[in-house]
Amino acid sequence: MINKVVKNILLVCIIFVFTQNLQANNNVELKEHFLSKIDDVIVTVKNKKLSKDERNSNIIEIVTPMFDFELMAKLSLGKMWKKLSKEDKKKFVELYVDRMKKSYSSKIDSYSDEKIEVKKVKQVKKNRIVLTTDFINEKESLEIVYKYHKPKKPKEHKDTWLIYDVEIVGVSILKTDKAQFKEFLQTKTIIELMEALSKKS
Amino acid sequence: MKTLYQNYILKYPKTILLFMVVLTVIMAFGALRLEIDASAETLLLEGDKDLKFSREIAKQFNASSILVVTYTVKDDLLSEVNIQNIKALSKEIQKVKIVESINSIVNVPLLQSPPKPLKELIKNIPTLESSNIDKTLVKQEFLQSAIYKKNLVSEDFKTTALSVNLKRDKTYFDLINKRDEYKKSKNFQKLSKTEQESLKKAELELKNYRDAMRELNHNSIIKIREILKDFSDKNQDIKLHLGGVDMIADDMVEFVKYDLKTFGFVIVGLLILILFILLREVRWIIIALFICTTSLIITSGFLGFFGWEITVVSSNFISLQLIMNMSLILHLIIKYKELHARNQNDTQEVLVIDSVSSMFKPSFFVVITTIAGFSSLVFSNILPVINFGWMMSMGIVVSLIVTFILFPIVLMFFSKSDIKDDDKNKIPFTTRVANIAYNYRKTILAMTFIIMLFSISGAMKLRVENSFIDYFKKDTAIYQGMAVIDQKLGGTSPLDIILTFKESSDNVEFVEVVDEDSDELDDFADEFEESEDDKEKYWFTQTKMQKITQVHNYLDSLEPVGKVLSLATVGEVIKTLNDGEEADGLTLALLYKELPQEYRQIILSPYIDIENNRVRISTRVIDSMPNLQRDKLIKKINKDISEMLNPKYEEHKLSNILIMYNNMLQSLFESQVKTIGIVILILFVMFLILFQNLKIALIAITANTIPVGVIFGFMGWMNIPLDMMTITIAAISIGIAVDDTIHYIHRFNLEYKSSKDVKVSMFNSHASIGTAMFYTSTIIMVGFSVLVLSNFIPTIYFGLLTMLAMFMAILADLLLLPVLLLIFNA
Repeated sequence: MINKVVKNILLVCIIFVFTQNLQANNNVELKEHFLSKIDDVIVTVKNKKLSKDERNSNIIEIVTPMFDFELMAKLSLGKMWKKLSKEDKKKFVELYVDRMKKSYSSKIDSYSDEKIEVKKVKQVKKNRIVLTTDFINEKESLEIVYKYHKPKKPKEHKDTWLIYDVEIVGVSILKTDKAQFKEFLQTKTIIELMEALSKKS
Repeated sequence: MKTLYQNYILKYPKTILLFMVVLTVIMAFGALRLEIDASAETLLLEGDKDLKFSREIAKQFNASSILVVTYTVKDDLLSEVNIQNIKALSKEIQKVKIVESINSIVNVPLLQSPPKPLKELIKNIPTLESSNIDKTLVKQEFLQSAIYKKNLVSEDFKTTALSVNLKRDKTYFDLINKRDEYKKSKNFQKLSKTEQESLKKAELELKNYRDAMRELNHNSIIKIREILKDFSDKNQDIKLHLGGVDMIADDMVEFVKYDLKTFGFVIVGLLILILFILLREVRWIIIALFICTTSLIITSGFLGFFGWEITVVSSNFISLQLIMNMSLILHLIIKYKELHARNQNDTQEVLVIDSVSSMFKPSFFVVITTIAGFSSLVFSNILPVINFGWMMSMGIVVSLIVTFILFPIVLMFFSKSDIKDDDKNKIPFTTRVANIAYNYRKTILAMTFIIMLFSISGAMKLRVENSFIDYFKKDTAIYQGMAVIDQKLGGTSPLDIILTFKESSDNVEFVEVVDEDSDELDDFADEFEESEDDKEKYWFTQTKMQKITQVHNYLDSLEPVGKVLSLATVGEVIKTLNDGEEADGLTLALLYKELPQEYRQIILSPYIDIENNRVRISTRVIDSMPNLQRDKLIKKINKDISEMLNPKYEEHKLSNILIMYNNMLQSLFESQVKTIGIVILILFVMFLILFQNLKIALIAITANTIPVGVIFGFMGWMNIPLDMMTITIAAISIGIAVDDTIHYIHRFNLEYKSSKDVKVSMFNSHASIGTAMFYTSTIIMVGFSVLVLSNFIPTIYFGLLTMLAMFMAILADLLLLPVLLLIFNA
């Protein structure tokens, strides 16, 4: 299945190349990069030799450079972010990233034989790309959208294009977090929020 | 007065009689339009704000009314036979017009049989009918699932519920809203003519629609009952019961109809019998029946034409009117007989005119005081009680007019009867009573004092706590259905807790900090602005879920609270699917978005109203729990939940039938005190006007409060609670009992004027009017005894307690009243 997708992608790539579109170059690069990473992940998941912990840490190692966790942490706090002290900002990002990784690991545990297909890649702005995929099992498919941005300054140990949000059937992980934190902070302090996050992670 | 009779009524008796017959025929058409309303609304307070709120909640949360069919087996609930039975039953019931859908063990979603990851489950939720279902797991799920246990199945797994969802009647609620809009503006300003017409039109529309719906509901319930009966006949081992608010309302209409019919006929029969025993002349029976029937038809006609409806409270209006009218007639008959015995040579016309004209004044006052009794009910806060007050006040006026027109005319058709010898020589029973009163004055006063102590101590114990289930006899379908649902399937009285999360405003003040992030964050600002569309998706937060769960668990921990259902129930189920981990916001949002509509309606929609940012925690209170104190429970819940919430961000409100029912119960005390206070005050003023003597007025009011006091004392000591019907007893019995007091004092005064001797006056009064009083009281007591035939327990209490009040009243009037008159030399 993946091969077929790759073939299709190549086909699409050729079309884009012919149109000499700069955007297309970005898109293709991104898509290829995404699919290769996914392949890596699947290979790791299927590697029965690895223990669960080894497997998970390997996967996190593969995907971490794809995500802009720091930005996600900032965005999830919204306007509150600007009110935090430098130390708190640092601490919060750490906790948030930690939680994200843990949450990913638990999702990996429930992975069975689903396939991932790229449906669409669209550059919506100069520095934004939206990658739409289908997460397919025997019966149905689940639409998962990855939102990429290109930071002005490239980040260390990170890809050029970075994921800052994931939408599952239209529900954004980032917006969900934002809503949670906002409500939490209505009655509680940022310290309490960080405590809650550290308990979870 | 005499001239009125001589020049008009007895001058053209046939014309007047013909007129009365025509009037009665016309009114009979109105009587045919008489309607019965026993909907839950008739049991509620007028203008109850909670009723409006409850309707709004029902609308917002799409909570349709339901009927519940309970299905109890001796063997295994999940056997193939039972599954097929439930399927077949559901299929049959589904055919009934008002039924929207049916939830039963056969078609509810199975979420833990076997447990699967949520994402898998959501795509394909099994039911009992899916292939490869493991029934052991299903049984376990039904018994343990937060949704189903003690709700869909009983703990012993022998009883299950088929929840029959009825079509939500949008038109009905729209019509109510339309009417209420006009009513509301009527409170603020005077309506213009067109507005008034629109209000009338809206009311009529609502009434017509509701009548049609009631008919449809009634027929549908009959149909469902037939289906259940057919099934029960074929399956003797399986017990079925029907329950639900709509069924109760429908059954109560049937009870009221039954009461109206039975009471009417039985009382007429009894009255004929007593009249015959007391007077031994057929003519009096004919006259009394003729007059009573005429007044009854005319009154019912008025009620029909005015659209006043009979409720459970007024279901005994026929018996009451018959009884009161009979006592009016009886006084006239006895007066006539008395005059006849004294002036044997007078012509029939003179005797008739003398009887009616001399009795008009006391009868008029008697009617006025009875009206005072009934009209005091208007000051209660309970609509059916208020209406009952108006109905009876009108009824008694009709009786007075009809009696004083028809009695002389009809009596003129009969010739004077011979006076029987035993009538002349017999020492009336009441003379013996007079002897007792005269000789045992101190004992009577001492007894009165003891009775007063009994009354006061009992009255202090009076309570208003009524269990709705106790209103019905144990052999009624209502009782049986409710008992099963109450004890096995999680309670009957619905109580909702509505939690509102206040709209959160970003109260973080904008601080201009220039750092390296600012640019980057601003770049994303637009993308993460909150939009209306997002509200629904990102509504589910853990903070909200924790709050809901906290309140949910608290309610669940209360002993009188049966089943609690809320978003926390769903959360609990997800937790079991999610390896014991609480569902995060993302999971809930995905669930809300992806859950198929049919299941969403069962497990989500009834509990969330995202648009208004609120959730509903639905509970059912175990109505039959002994010592359940509703008001205390509601106050405790209110207080405890308030402590759990932060008033800045969350607020709560209780709703649904339990609240409205409790409001009604709580208003009983107030209504009782108000009505009794007003009736005593009015009567005292009337006594003052009538007797123009403060001492006599005080004596009369004392003699009249004793019987009412006894009622309260008796109810208190016997642990009979005040309810909608029993609160009317005091006002009614005082209104009726006062008749005797007036008759007695009126006669006593007359006797005293001629004899100037208190003792002679007393003995003469006892022998004459005392007999009439004794007869009328007997008739009233026997009349009220008929109410024990009712299926509605409050009506039975009403009958028995009114009998007791009447008995105490005649004792007070024949023993205490003369003693007081003697002692105070009034």
